[in-house]
Amino acid sequence: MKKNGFILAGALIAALATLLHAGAPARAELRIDITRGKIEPVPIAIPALAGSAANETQAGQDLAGVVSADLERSGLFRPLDPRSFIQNVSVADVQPRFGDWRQINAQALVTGTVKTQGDGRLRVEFRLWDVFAEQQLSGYGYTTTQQNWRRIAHIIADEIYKRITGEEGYFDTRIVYVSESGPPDKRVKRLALMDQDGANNRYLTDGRTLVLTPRFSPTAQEITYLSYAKGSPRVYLFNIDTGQQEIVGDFPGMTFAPRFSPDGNRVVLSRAENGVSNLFSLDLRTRRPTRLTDSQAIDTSPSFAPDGSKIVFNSDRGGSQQLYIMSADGGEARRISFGSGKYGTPVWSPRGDLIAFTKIEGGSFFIGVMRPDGSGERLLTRDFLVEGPTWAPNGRVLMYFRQSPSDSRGHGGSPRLYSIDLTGSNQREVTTPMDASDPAWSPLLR
Amino acid sequence: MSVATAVSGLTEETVAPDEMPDAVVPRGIALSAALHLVLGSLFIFGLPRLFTPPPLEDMPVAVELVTIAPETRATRPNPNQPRPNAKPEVPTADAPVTKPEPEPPVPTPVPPPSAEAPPPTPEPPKPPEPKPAAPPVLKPPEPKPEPPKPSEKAEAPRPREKPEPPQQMAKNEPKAEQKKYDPGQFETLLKNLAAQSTVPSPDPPPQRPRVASARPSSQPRAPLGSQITASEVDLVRQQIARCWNVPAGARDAKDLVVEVRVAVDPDGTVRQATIVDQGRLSDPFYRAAAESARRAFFNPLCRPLHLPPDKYAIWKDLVVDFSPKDIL
Repeated sequence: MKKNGFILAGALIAALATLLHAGAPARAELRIDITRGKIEPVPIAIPALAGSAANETQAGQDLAGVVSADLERSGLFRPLDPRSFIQNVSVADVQPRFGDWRQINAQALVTGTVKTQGDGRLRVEFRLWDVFAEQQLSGYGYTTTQQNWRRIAHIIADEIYKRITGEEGYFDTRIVYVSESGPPDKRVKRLALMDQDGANNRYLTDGRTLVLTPRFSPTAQEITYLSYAKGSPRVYLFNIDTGQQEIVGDFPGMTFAPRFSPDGNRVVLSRAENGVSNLFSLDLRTRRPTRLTDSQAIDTSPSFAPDGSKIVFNSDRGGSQQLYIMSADGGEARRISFGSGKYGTPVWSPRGDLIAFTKIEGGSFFIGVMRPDGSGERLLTRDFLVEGPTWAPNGRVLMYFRQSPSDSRGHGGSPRLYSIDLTGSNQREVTTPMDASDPAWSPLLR
Repeated sequence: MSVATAVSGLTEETVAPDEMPDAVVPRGIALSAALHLVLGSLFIFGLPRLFTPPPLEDMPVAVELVTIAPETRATRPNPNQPRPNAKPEVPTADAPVTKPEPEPPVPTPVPPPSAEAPPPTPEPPKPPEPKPAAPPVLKPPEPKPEPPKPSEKAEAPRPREKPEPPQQMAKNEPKAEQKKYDPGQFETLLKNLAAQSTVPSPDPPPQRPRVASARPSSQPRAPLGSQITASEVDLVRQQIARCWNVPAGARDAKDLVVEVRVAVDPDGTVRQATIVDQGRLSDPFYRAAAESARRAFFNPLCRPLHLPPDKYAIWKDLVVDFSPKDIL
């Protein structure tokens, strides 16, 4: 009995020793999981780009200002106050004194130079530095005409955005929208085009005819929109370079809600006939229309998936206005929105993961997003009237227009453009010279 | 006084008169005296303290919330304490002690002695070698704008004039003589630390490195410091989390787990942080996440990391996994 006890104890000790040995290998590395961190804008220092002549110095300042403003508006960067800078970076080629920048808590630093070339064009070089790791992250040089300097700034901002977030930028883009002016009963609506930050605004139409729902072509030189030029609403194409306009397809009746396919070769639109609306696709090369839906309901606002295989649209075929998805060739449609209220103007994100929409519920308008299978609905903003979302090309930011109610004397109530981040925070007004509605974001210009 | 009378009166009344009355009187006096004493001392010492509680001091207490992991390992004392006068070893193998170089003429803040080699990237634009010190050597590296490498083909007609395709700028040429690490600088740092300590000795390295570096040789198995406790790990975790600026909104964030291999100096300063999965750096999302993770170790808030100094052998090489999946 006693002997047995000893044996048992011995076995236990042996087992314990084995366990301990296995549990703590002599040279195991210490492994640590980090599943939390700070989510805050990246502090970035963007001093004026250096130049020797007076016009170069001015250009360097302007460039840095536009880059700063672009990055700041994204909500993901926090440009530091230039007055806090310790080092005066006058020569971009010299490695910065990182200690000086660390001291003001800059995580990233942009340096660069501006030179005027013999032919009068600007040569802009910039470098992006990781201040903590003391490394160059990126460096590019660009040459362009003097008056085109803003695009250089947007391209630099895109490069910085991409290098630090991993995501494509969206600063070198433009917005087409409907500019509105005049009293409510005599509203003048013109097509207008501007840079994504509101600069370089210009008008594409003279305002004699009503225009609605402009949409960019993926090739960025053409716009499709709805015009009442010939009395009834028709879908038109507008060439930005030449200024030429033409009717898309010669359908009988009224056509509206046009949108390009991702390859730019087709336009999908709505056509009203006998009190119902159906979707058609039009091949821009052959000008041959294809019927996509044949319902006794109002099917409208079609939008392609970025791979061109599917179309999301809204329809009241089920009783109330809801979102549906079908193949790009038509056929069976599947309802994806099941929340309370009405859903309209669906737009598929350029990165494919979400569909943005306008929702009307309880007398309020919302802009929201949901996944293409209808799950994960999130409402980003709400107002008296918010409508017409359009995606930035990187699928992270939406632009839309918002209108407050007008008072008894008809004042106020003017529509304005706003942008909002996918997180629902960082809502910003996009300044336009006049009232503005129906924005459409271009793809990246490059 | 009235209280005392009442007490003695009460005593006399309750006691039966025919039961040993002569013994009752002294007992009552004793009781009365005791009660008087108690009352008196209550008045003098007791009452103020009983009824006026000491004022609560409103002192802020710094509290760091730490999640304690389920398992904590106890350690036993180290039988082989390193002798205090043990010869200090050379701080690290890759930092040979040399004569301190003359102070650089331009006063620069001492950069961390961490000029680690940048991870080899497959792309041509390599980041330049960071140079910790020695500004005299620093020549403005000439950017050699290479023959234009258009990143994208120019497309036919443009709405506005398009800038010429961007040229990737030549990186700052790393000089051959540019050392990765300036041992003189580290030496100076050590000298400074030694000067601060109370014992002036010809051996400059501070206490912590000495203890730590003495350990591997004198500690064959399972001594104190061979195990790190769960709460110590949590403290490290908390420090790094504070320094990590999470890349926001990246797609497929749940797959973005970045593994970083870290070499730590005895004072807790990260000497080198290498992204393990170099193959995925071609994915811009992964690269941004990986660089944000690596940047955490160079954040001034995390320089140095506060680590248990007696366990240097354990944490001198760390593997840290960054996973934003719970955040985004």
